Amino acid sequence: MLLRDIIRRDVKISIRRSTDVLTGLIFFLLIALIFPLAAGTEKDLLLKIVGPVMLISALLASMMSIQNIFKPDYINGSLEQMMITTNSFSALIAVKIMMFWIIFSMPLILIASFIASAYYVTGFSIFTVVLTLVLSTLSLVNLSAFAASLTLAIRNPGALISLIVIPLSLPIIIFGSKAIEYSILSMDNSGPLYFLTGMMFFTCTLGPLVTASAIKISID
Amino acid sequence: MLQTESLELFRNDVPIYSNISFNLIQGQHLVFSGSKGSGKTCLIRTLCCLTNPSSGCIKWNKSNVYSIYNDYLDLIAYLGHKNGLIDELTLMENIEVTLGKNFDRSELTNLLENFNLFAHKDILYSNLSNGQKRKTALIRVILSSKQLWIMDEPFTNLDVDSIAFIDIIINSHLNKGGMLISASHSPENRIDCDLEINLDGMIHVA
Repeated sequence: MLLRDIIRRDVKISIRRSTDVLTGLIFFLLIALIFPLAAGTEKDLLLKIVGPVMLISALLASMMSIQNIFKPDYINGSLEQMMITTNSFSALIAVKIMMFWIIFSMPLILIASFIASAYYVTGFSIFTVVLTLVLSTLSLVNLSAFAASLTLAIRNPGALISLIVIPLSLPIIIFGSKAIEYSILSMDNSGPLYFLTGMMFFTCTLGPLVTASAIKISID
Repeated sequence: MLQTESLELFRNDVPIYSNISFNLIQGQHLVFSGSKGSGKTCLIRTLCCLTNPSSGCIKWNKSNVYSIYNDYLDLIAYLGHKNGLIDELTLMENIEVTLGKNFDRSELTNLLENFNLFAHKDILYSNLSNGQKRKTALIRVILSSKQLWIMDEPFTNLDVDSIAFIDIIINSHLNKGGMLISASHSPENRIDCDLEINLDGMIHVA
């Protein structure tokens, strides 16, 4: 199976299963919008919490949606077919994770850029929110895919994915929040952004490899 | 030539199968028979490199399949317990996404007509009957143009006419130098084979 075929396949299937993607996106929208409603419209407070809120909502939404990345294919048996028909299983997994990011996280980031204005974020800081989310969701998607592959053979993983992902994602949440906060305070945020970029490359290169191995173990 | 030498699999210290040795040459059909739970599926999956055997080795033309992993996988088409097809796509789309673009269209039409599936080709896979689902999965294997077909209970849910038709297809595949390994627990829906390994008593019949 060629990687091009995988892309075509995943796009086709996600169009048919669009409710899965929409549920995650609406979940993100609601979580991120509920904070200004609950905390009031005080500008200083909202500007202080916008970073953590964005990252935590993105984390929760991707943990919720990631269960659908391998599980349906595992249940109907097409994952083992892919293992046999492909030349490089980890490349295939890398493509699948990237497809998940494009289909799920890119719309999420787009929504986030609009939600940011509900937190009085303006101008260049909106761009920072977008950039931070791009870097951190790439890492989060790889981490969650790894957790999803570990829990693949378990019938009802429940909170297990969150137990694996949340501790691993803490550095991304902390540095992502700081990157947004420093930008809002007009301070130099290159430090946190460099760290996020590093994490992004680390998870994007190692993530598919360990995920592929974990899937092989689950299928065995 | 596919060769195994005393293959053995343990799960939690329980032997699933042991001492499986056979030579399968071009044009031969090997059947694993045995009651349910006798390890047929595990053995089939081992031959597809989905499960690692505890000991023993599988060789393709004298070289270990794990050392020529990609080349070996390029030779096989696998039909498991699960059909490996997607509920949300139609029958036709399922065949297209699993085989890519490079397969014989006229051959596909021929197969669909013989399996009485032509009228159903644009129906969602989830709405097909179990027999029709199995036939779709078989079409995927037949059109894959691989040399070694490995099938786990290929005839579940199939009617007599379809089994007779697959018999013809399999014979032409074997005559062209193809190979087939299948697992079957019931003697009734079985077709001719050259080798049989009964996993119940571990008796080899050549």
